[in-house]
Amino acid sequence: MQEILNGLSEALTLTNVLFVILGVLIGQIFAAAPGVGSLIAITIAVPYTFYMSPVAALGFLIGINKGGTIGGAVSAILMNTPGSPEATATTFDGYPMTRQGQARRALRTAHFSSVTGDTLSDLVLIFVAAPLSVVAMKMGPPEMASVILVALVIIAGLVGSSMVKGLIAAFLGLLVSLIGMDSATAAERLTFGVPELMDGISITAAGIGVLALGEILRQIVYVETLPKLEPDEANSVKLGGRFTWKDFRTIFPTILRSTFIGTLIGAIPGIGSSAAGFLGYTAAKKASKTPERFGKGEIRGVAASEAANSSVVGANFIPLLSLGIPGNVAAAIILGAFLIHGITPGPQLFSEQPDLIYALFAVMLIGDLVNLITGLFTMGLFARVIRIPLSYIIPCVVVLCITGVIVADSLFNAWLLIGMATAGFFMRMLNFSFVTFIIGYVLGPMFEEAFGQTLIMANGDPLYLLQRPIACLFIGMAVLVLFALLRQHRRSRRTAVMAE
Amino acid sequence: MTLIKRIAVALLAALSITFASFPALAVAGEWPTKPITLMVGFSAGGGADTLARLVAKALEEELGQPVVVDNKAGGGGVVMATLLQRAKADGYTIGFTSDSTFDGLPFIVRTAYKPDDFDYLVTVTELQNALVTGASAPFSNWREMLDYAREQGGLTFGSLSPITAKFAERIAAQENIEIRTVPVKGGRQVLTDVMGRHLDVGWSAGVHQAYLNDQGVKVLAALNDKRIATSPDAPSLKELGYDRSYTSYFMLAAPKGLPDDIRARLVEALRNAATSKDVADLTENKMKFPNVVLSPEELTRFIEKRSALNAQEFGQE
Repeated sequence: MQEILNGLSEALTLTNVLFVILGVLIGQIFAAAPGVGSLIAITIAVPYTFYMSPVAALGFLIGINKGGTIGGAVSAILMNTPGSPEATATTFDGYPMTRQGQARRALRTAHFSSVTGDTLSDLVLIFVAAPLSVVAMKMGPPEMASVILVALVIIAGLVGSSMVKGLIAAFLGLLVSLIGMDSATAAERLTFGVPELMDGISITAAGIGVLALGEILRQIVYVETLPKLEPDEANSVKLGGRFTWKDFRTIFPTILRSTFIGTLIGAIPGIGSSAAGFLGYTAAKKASKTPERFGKGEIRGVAASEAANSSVVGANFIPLLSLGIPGNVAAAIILGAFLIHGITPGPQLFSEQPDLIYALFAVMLIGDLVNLITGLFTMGLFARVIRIPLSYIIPCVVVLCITGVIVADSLFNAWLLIGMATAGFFMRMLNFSFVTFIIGYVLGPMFEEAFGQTLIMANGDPLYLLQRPIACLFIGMAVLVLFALLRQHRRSRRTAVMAE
Repeated sequence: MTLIKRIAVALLAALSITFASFPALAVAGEWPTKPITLMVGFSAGGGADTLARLVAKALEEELGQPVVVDNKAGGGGVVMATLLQRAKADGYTIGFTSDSTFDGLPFIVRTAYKPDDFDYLVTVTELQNALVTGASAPFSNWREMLDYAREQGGLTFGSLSPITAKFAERIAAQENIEIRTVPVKGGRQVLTDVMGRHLDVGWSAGVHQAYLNDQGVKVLAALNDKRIATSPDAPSLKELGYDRSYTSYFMLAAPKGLPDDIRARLVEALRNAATSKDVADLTENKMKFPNVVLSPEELTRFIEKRSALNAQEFGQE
């Protein structure tokens, strides 16, 4: 108890709280700008934290991370351009809501869902980190391979109207992810001798290119066909819709479901918030009595995606604090900051520096609160962006995307970005699912790595799997989901044919 | 059409911002007269990157010019080294990576550079290579591990790179035990896998030092030339009777052919930077890596020796 109080008093100094607020605002703004993202903000911020006290430094970085969870939804909802893959599922219903004049309601939905999901997963971290850390320990390569398999099968439900085109896009995503040096053998794959390609096509270039810039290119083609807005007309464009208490009650069960999914994914190091966003969305659609409304501006769709990808953020600290294992790139960078300040996360941290742990928990909850309050203001401000004509916004977005990639990666990757954007553009024009492309790109290499390791561990003996009951369980789940999906697909085709 | 014009203007603006940030062309006079670029062979945010940034900061104070850190991650430093080799040898571009980028990888991967394409400057720390296993593993020292391997028909080994794989396989062959090398990305993942007992043993370049407790890992042998300070009871391979060791460093290099005066100035400044209070504190106290600063001559000799060894090791196949 004494430690909790010590921790609280350490966290609640004016400097610390100000740094958390600053972090949250930076995270919100960076993440809201398409193509920049809170990860870039964290990376840039780390060197500045060398000179802060440990609690202020961590509060600042965690604040950026948290602000990023709500900011990420902004460009996805307003422009149909997710700044990073985790917000992709937010566009499915967020953008249709904007088109229906419900932009502000969609943003508020995203804001409340994100903050609720993030806060709940922080509470899970605070109260049950120790038991949940067992999850991370049980996940060896065979278990990882089988969990990713389940995720892939479930997300395959998102392939779109044409199974064949969806699969082609997924395989193209896999192909792009293969580029670079194979970490096991150090062999170069598809690099054509270009040294810059040895590190592969970065997630920034591929994600921003296909998801954001590709969409912008498509909008450029169509911008001439949009009705031109006179200036005073533009001012009267509806910011749209109020977010009501009733809305919150409607989406609350969805938030809980997505938080559960996101927290579990976050507790497993390495899978990440992109998969969580898609899984949360798919689960909400499955559970809904009116699945046909998803994709057409269903408020639950926005909530499902945002609550799921945001709850990963808190849960990622479960393996980080209890075992010292970072769950994703942001957590890995924050771990670096921990080490700089002489803090080594791991089981001994709870006994050796309990004050610090409680200060950290306090800082996280302050971050959630700040995110909730400042979001009311910033999201309202962001919503006004839709009043600006597209012909002004598009060039800004293009510049942001390109400079974002140059800051995060290199000038070379800016060219890759343009290439990926062109690919994203043609996928949209030809109706190939860019969603399955990005999933193939993100999850494919993870599956390959874990599966390759499993093969070596099994030493060619298929019965080895029987020694890994958790992996068996997941594989069984994957098979069941696959059959369910196939049956559903056949049924929906039949009804489609009958309708014709 | 106006839209396309607008995009063009926006693009031009973006490009000019980009180019404006490039250092201005060299002006004749006392080196350094403009910012120095420090290319880092690791991605931003990790321990190695942090170390490089602290060195950059200290170097900045030594030279009175900004030192710009440019992360060129990929291929264990190969991307950085390839670009470094192509850079002008004028002292304005230097690189930070581990020595295996220069003395190991060229013999395994088809790199555009050779070990003698660089001027080797100084080391900053010595890595703490060790063979580790989970705290709950049924063996606690080298002998028990060998017995276990014979009993179980082999060991699974978490390897960080082809170099560490080859090293372990040679020793296993000598002992006539079977090891199955599982390639793992990054030292932390190796620790997770041995802690969860998914892998029997694994290679750690030093991250394990924060996890030496009863829920973490235990060290079976030091793979460096000598014992590691944080595990004084674990013998080195040499003590165990093998004629092998793997010492490695985080170090700095420049393209070959630096003018002598610039080189002298740079080495002196780097030496001071590498031994500065901030860098020493980070390496010794926080990372628990000894702050070993080799001279250019010592480092060059080390790299030549290691290169010859690796050429022999990997050339045979």
